[in-house]
Amino acid sequence: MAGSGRRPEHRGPPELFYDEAEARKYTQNSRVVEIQAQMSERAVELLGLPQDRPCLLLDVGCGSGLSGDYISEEGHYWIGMDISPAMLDVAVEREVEGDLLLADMGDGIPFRPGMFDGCISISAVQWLCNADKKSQSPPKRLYRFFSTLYTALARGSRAVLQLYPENSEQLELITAQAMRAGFTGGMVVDYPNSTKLCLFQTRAELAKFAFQGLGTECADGEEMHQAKFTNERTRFRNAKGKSVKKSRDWILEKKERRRRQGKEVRADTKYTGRKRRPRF
Amino acid sequence: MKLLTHNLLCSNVRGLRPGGGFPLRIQASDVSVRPVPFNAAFVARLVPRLRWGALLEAAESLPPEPAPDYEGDEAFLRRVHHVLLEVRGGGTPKPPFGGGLTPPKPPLGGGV
Ligand SMILES: C[S@@+](CC[C@H](N)C(=O)[O-])C[C@H]1O[C@@H](n2cnc3c(N)ncnc32)[C@H](O)[C@@H]1O
Repeated sequence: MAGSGRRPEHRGPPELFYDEAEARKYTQNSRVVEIQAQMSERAVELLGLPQDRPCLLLDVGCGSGLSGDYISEEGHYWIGMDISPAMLDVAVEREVEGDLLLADMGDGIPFRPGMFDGCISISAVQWLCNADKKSQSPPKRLYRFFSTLYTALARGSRAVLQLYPENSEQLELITAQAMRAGFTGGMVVDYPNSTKLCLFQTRAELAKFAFQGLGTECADGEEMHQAKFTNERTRFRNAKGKSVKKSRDWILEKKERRRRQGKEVRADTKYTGRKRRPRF
Repeated sequence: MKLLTHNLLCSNVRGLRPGGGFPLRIQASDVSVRPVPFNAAFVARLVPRLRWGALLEAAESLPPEPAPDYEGDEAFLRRVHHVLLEVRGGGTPKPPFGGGLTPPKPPLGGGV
């Protein structure tokens, strides 16, 4: 198939790429379903929502509602927006619990101030880095997205965005626009191996995040579930965005990449990437 | 689109008149109802975020304004829950674009 190796974002505007055929394919692929669920789980976890309190979340680029399903499972409520009518049609067909809105996130988040307790976005925001028309400016669209998102979020709440940036410049642009829009956090986590999760926080008295470039530090004391988060981040400390060559993380990431290319790869075990004795 | 979404929407979208919300015209013909788990605490926390007036336009079954002690009034909360989260209007909400402003594409068009 011509161009199948290219990134989806290069193949045309999202509302055309995610047409009926693509939308069907998407939800029928059990691997996609599983991966989206995994990433949604991680994203919701990182939102750090109060225990036992159902929240109202925004799902940006909700597509057919796979990410939303996880939100519902967790007992939260959600409103999703997406630019692709075909993806939303599948969501309606699947009778998702959340509500759906056809809208372009690059035009801004069309909600009143403080309406949401949190926002997740799974595999969508990198689309904003591409201009589909001459009149579109990615930095402007990203800024409009982040500044209106900031407004729509309740004080102190978070946005966790899982995305596939094409390169480090895109990631930098995305985080820079988020900071310009007022978000204090800023975090890049590698999960599950070689996808990116960004965590942004609106200004709150208790904001404990300090943004220091891409390998951000998570200042002391966040709640329990943040501990895991801290470990994953260390991977980024050593080399900008890359794990040290030949390290266990590096090997795991490489294996994961191979797996995604459909290659045969040995299972990860506790022995993976372990140092061998000089005499083996 | 559900009334909750409609109620929380604003019009900071490029091309929309600032401050100009729009009424959702739900046609009884294409309303669908889908049960959603009820959580009293969640609905109670939603109430202060709502524009009650806009809600009344679409749902006459609600009191003119929430009673001061609405948080403990389960019957009331269940009604709000139903109206906000379970009823879905199939119609396309039409934002009233004023002043000759036409958005590049209908930003909220085709609410599903
Ligand atoms: C990879 S899918 C992910 C869908 C869903 N979050 C999930 O986990 O299944 C990416 C989605 O982002 C949407 N998208 C891309 N650009 C968008 C934009 N500018 N505004 C809103 N949605 C957009 C696409 O239509 C598509 O449904």
